[in-house]
Amino acid sequence: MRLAWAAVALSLLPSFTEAAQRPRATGKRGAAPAAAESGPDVFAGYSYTRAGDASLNGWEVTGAFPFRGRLKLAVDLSGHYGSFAGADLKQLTLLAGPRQAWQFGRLHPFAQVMVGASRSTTTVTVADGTFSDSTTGVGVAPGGGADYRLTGRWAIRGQAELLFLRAAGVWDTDPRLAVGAVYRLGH
Amino acid sequence: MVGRGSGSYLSVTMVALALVACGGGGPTSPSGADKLVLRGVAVGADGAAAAGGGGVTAQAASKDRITVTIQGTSISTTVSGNGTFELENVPTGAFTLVFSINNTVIGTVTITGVPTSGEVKIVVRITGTTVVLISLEIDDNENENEDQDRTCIIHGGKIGRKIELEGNVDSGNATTFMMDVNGNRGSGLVQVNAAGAQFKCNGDKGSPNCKDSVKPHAKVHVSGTLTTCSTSAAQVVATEVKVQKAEDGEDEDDD
Repeated sequence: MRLAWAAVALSLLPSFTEAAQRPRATGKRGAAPAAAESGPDVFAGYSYTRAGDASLNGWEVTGAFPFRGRLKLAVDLSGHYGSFAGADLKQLTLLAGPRQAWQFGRLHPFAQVMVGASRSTTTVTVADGTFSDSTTGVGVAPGGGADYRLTGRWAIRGQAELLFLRAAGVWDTDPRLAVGAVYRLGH
Repeated sequence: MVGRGSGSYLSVTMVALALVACGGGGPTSPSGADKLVLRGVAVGADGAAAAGGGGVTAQAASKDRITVTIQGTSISTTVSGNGTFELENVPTGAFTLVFSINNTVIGTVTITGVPTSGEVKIVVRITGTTVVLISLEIDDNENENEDQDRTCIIHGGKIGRKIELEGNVDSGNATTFMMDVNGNRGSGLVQVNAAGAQFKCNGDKGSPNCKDSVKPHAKVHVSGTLTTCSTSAAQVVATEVKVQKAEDGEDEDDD
């Protein structure tokens, strides 16, 4: 898992470095409509998280709304599901926070810090019934990612976060990954 | 080259994301051929039937972190916020899990018949002061350990697997009783731990007096998990006990 995270970080790094060396070299070919870039966008896609010791898969939906320059307010809702040791796990998470984005041709990297809450439900079914426990935690999730613009409105996105979650007296460090499509709502 | 660089790096990123998402380290993926991994879930005391709802996790009940240690070793971990925990390289044969809060032991669970590789899955229910085993499953990588069959008094019985037994109560009561298994399936008495089991009586389902009919000579059908088994003894944690005929209905000795 750590190796995979390192691969993600390393693969992103050259993009930033390369782009930084040619700050205004964005060609006309890749130029996006300014209004669209500064407008709100909506992301929906597949998401993976490592919640505690369990690997969960699910969905993630994010809305980002501009409020100052390239700074946006991102609101993220996700649901992750899976099983572990015979128990069914479900995690619903709502996060919100500022996102700073940059533009290098078709590539739009961003960094963000979000805070919010997560509700985890563990269900165990045995012959004589079903046990179901829930707990709510609060946390902070720094992370980042990049959009790769396909058309004026559509892009694909890959993003990674590390959710530091305080739940029931324990701090968990849960990595989250997501890939999916972005639609820009600007004029 | 420069113009295409960011695109190719993005592709690498996406591939990396996909590889990670598609199962690296997932619970269902093999964790190494020779590794023995224990994966567990701890649920809280109030985790009653789902319809009841309102349960809290083990941590919420204790408000402190719960530590799981394998007795006599330094192998230890903390139960996460959602109740999951995982221990790697656990001993083979048998070991005891010690659950503690702030270095105070709240309970132990002993697991026997542990193979040399594979996965042990357990679910426990934790209150402030007790630990109760709810389910245990052992998946070995040794392709059905047939030796285990031959060394267990219950024919076809596998430790950690679900089991159905039929026979007569030899001694004990509704909490714990010794059972004489019907026919050739068992070659000795089986100890049945029915403290957490649901009881049903034929023709009188859910009767509050059903437990009282678990007496010597009563004919019962037990559903549960085989927790230990040797050539001389076996233990089953029952999830359901059906009393098919109470002691009064004697002459139903199936031997």
